[in-house]
Order: sequence, then structure tokens, then C-alpha cells
Amino acid sequence: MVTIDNLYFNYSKHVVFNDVSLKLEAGKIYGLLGQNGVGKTTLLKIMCGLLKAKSGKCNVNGYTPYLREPGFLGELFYIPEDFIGPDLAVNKFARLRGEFYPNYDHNKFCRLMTEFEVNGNSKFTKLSFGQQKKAIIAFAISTNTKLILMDEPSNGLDIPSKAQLRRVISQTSTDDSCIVISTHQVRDLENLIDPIIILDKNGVLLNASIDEISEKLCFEFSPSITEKAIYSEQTLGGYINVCRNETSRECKVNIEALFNSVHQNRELIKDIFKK
Amino acid sequence: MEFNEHKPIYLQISDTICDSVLTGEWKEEERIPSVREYGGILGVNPNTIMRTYDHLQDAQIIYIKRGVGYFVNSGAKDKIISIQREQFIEEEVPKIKRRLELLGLKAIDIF
Amino acid sequence: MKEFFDINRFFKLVQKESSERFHMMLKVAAIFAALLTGYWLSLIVFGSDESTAAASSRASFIFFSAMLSMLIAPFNLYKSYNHRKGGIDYVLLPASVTEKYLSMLINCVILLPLLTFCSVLLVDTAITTITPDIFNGFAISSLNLGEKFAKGYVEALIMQLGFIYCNLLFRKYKVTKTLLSTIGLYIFFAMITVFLITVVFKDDFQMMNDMNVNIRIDKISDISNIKEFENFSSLFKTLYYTSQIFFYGLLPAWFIFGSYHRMKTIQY
Repeated sequence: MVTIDNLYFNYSKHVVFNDVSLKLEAGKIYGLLGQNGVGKTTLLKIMCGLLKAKSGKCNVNGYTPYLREPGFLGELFYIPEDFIGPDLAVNKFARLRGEFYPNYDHNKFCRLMTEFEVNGNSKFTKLSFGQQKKAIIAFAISTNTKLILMDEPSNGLDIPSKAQLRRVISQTSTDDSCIVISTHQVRDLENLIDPIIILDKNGVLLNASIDEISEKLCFEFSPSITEKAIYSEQTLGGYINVCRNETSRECKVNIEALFNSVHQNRELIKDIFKK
Repeated sequence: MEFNEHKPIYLQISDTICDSVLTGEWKEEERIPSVREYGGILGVNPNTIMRTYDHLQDAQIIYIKRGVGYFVNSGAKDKIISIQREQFIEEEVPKIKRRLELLGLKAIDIF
Repeated sequence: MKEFFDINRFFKLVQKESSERFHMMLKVAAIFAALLTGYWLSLIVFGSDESTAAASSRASFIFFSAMLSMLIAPFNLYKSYNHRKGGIDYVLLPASVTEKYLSMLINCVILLPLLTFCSVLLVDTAITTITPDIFNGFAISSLNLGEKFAKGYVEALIMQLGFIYCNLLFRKYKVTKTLLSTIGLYIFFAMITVFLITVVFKDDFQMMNDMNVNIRIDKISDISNIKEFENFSSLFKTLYYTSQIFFYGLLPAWFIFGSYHRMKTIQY
């Protein structure tokens, strides 16, 4: 669905992507992780045509995003990190805007608004930040576009809202849609995102499904640091040790520990996951 | 639903489903939620639920009726009990034995 | 999906944009109507028994309101189009740039001025009905929608295209930068004109002076109305026609293509 080849992008002197290649497939919920400033938002913006790749190719759904063709735009929705709604009632906004998306379902929108507990008759400007976010997420999902890009969707949401968000995203995912969620609040979305993409300032460090990760790495909880550990992290009651999975045992992938181990052992991890 | 740090998620969810069958919450020959429905209830990636259901199908605890959905197999309760008994004997009993030894206790003292 | 222009989608877009902006347009129209009302009240409060406002001057005010509302329309209605965060909504809306630009034109050039025009006219008619002695005659009957109006509208339209372009071009301090650019351009062209008249076309200018004819030139385009126009040097005529093509052809074309290009390629 999304193919990125040899992407180069910079902001004045700051190079964000240098020869980055990436493939995203339909039917998946991708988690896009990376430290602040590494380029997660930039990547999402390049995918939806808000920014132009300086060199290299970006192909989404068979289109070149930067050309901003209506056919392309009708199959994609981008939810920015800080969305500020217009001075308009949410329902009215949805009805007017939904006309432009061929698969928009207004009933679904109303159901989601009810599930999110946001009043559709109030204006965006009268809603809190979290509620505005939930409203636009409800709208985005109701457009039934093939690609949904979310930039830090759980930011600013209270705890019950985060659970609502998880349930809603899970229900949304279909075999021909692709959802990309950029986040650094890993715990909010832990069991939802699969595959995991980790970016750093040099490009894509990792792009693998949870199954692949648990095949190659082991995340063990033990009272002390294991010798063979690639990375260890102290936690309540002991240590989480990340080692190569030599016994093909299955254990739960701890995404936070994965993130830290990837950053501390770039070359090793790249080697382990080389295809 | 709380997920712990150790077992893969799909196995934890399997355990939850097995518990539901044992308690009678999910009855035999009755339809259970679809992959998407269940994922939506838990807020978990549908692929994970798919893995769970595959695992349960392999263990013959559930079966799929094409075009209708997933159902709890008849005799699932008994299967679960036997699987969990095996697990208990092979995994948990050795742990208890080791703890008893470490603490210098004998089984008679406890049971 | 038709990529370049789809009439259904275009209508939906116009409907959406005017619906979203209706309150803002109403506010602008209300301000001009309020100005007229305020003037009427000031005549009542501060004026003498004979103070009146002629219908023709009020008609001019009505045209003036419509023109002014048209000129500020882009900054008022489409302020956030090129805003780094607020503009994302516009750019990602599934419609072609052609449709978006035309919808913007319709809202700025037709809908808002029309609304302002009608509102102020309505208020004027109402006031004249209430106090016919203060507001003499209905402004409606004084409205001269003739050639003069058409020419004025065309020039305001060209300025409007320029303002739309500037609204898209500048991200901060839009109005200030636009005004400064307009003044700058005006001074620039005035200097060129003065230079041409006093240096290059000294002879022609001398001839104009010798003609002893009362020439009334409101705009550069009126030069061609002078009876003795044929006597001017061909160079002068060439330059004159060039300037006409420039101001009435090239400049608006530049504004239109510039705006289109900016909308197509602006990055967020």
C-alpha cells in the first residue's frame, strides 16, 4: 500500500531522512516509534502529501502524494497531533466534509461519537482538547479510507478515553485498510500496534511484526542481569533482559524494552532482523 | 483486561477464553464473538485475536463454521480441564516442589 | 474520480465553504450596515434640522462597502489557508486545486460583496422609509449600474486577485505585507510613469499641453479617449497599449496562476 524508496528529506540544514526505504501493507496497524524530533511527523506528512520528498520516491495507493490528486486524498485521512477544530458544530462539520469521501458513513460517525461520549451538537471551539481529538478521530474512522495516519492520537486523552480509542481502532482495522499510529506513549497502544516501526536519526531501525520480534528476541523477567543480555532494564522486582531467542520460546514482547535495546544496539539489531 | 509481563498476549487471551468456557459463561455449541468483535472489546490488534483463535482451533476447543462464525466445541470443557491438568503437572508442580524444598517444608505439612 | 474538475464535487465544495463562512460574511455585512446606521444616528443626534444625506452619496457608500468587503474577503474568510497547522484541513480535502480556487473566488468575489451590498441597501431602504427627510430619496434609484460601475468592478477584481495571491503567499502579517506591497508597486509604477512623461515623451507631453484642451483622465486607460490620440508618437502608443495589456491581462494572469501554483505546491 505504501512504498517508500531512497527517501531524502531535510529542513534547511537538518537532514531528517537519508536514503530511507520502507514498505507498508494493508490489513495492519503499524506503530511508528521514535524519539522526539526524529521525523515521525515528517514521515506521515510526506505520506499524505503535505511535504515533498527532496529526492526518492513515495508511492501511496498507487499515487504520488505530493500531487494531491482528489482520488488520492479521498482514500486517506491524516489526524495531526494538535488538531484545532473550526468554529462549527461537530455534526455539521462531519456532514459537510463527509461528502468528499466516497465511503463516508454518517451513522458510523454518530455511533462512534456516542461511544466516545462527545456531544455532536456542540461546536469544536466549545469542546476540550481531548474531546476535539476524539471527535476528529471519530470522523476520520467514519470516512472508511484505505489509509489512516494518526499522529500521537492518545496524547491529551484521559484514561477512559484511551481505552475507548483502543477499542475503536481495533474495530476499524480491516483487511484492506492500513492504519499508521505514530506515538511515544507506547503503553497506551501496546497490544494494538503490530508491526512495529522504529525510526532514528539515521533512518528505519526496525520494521517487524510482533511475531517476528518474539521469534528473534526474548524478553525475560529475572531477578538479575543475564550475561547474554543484549540489553537489561531494571524494573519492579528485578530486571527485564532482552536476549536473542535461541530456544524458540514464546514470550511477550515488551515494546518499551525493545525500543531501548534497539537504540543502544543499532548495528546488532539491524543484523538480527536483516531480511 | 490486565496483561502481565510474561506470556505472549495471544496465550493470555486463550487462557481467558478457556476460563469463560469452564465457568459456563461461554457455553458449548454456542457462537462466540468474531475476531473483530473480540478485538474491539479488548482493544487488541485483530491479528492477535486471530492467533488466539487459531491456537484454540488447534487445541480443538473452538471450531469455525464458514460464513457463520466461531463456536465452542462440544466437549471443550473436558478438553480444557485435561490440558490444564497436564500444564499444572508439567509446569507448576515442579515449581511448587522446588519451593517446598527451598523452604524445608514437606507436602504433608501443607496439604 | 475526475481529477481536474467535477461539477458535483465543485457544488458541494461551494456549499461547504459558504456554509462554514456564513457567520463571518454576515459579520462583515453587518459592520458596513452598522456604519450606515451609525451615520444616520449621528445626523439625528448631532446634525441640524437641515442635514440630509443625498441618495447619490449613499449609493456610493453602498458600492464602496461592497468593494471593500470584497478586498478584505481573502484575509477574512481564508486566513488560515496557508497556516502551518490550520491549513492542513483545506489542503487535504478531496477536491482539485481548480475547484478549491474557483470556490474561493466565488466566496470572495461574489458571495461576500453581494451579501454586503444587499445588507447595506436593505438598511438604507429601511432608514429612508422611516425618516425620508434625513435620507433623501431611495439609494436604489440612484444606483448607476452602468459602464462606470463595470469598469470599477473589473479593477477591483484585479486587485482582488492580487490580494488572494498575497493571502496565500504571506504567512505572517498578511494584511500589512499586502498593503506595503501594493503601495510599493504603486510608487514604482508612478515613478516609471513620471520618468516616461518628463524624459522620454517630453515632446508628446508638450504637445498635450499646447492643445489647450481640458483633459479629464481618471485612469491611464482614459488616455485613449483624448481626441488627438492619433497624433501621439507611435512609441507612446505602443507603450500605452503595452501597459494596458500588462495591467488588464498579464498581471491578473500572474495572480491567477501564482495562486494556483501556490495552492498546488505549498508545504506544511
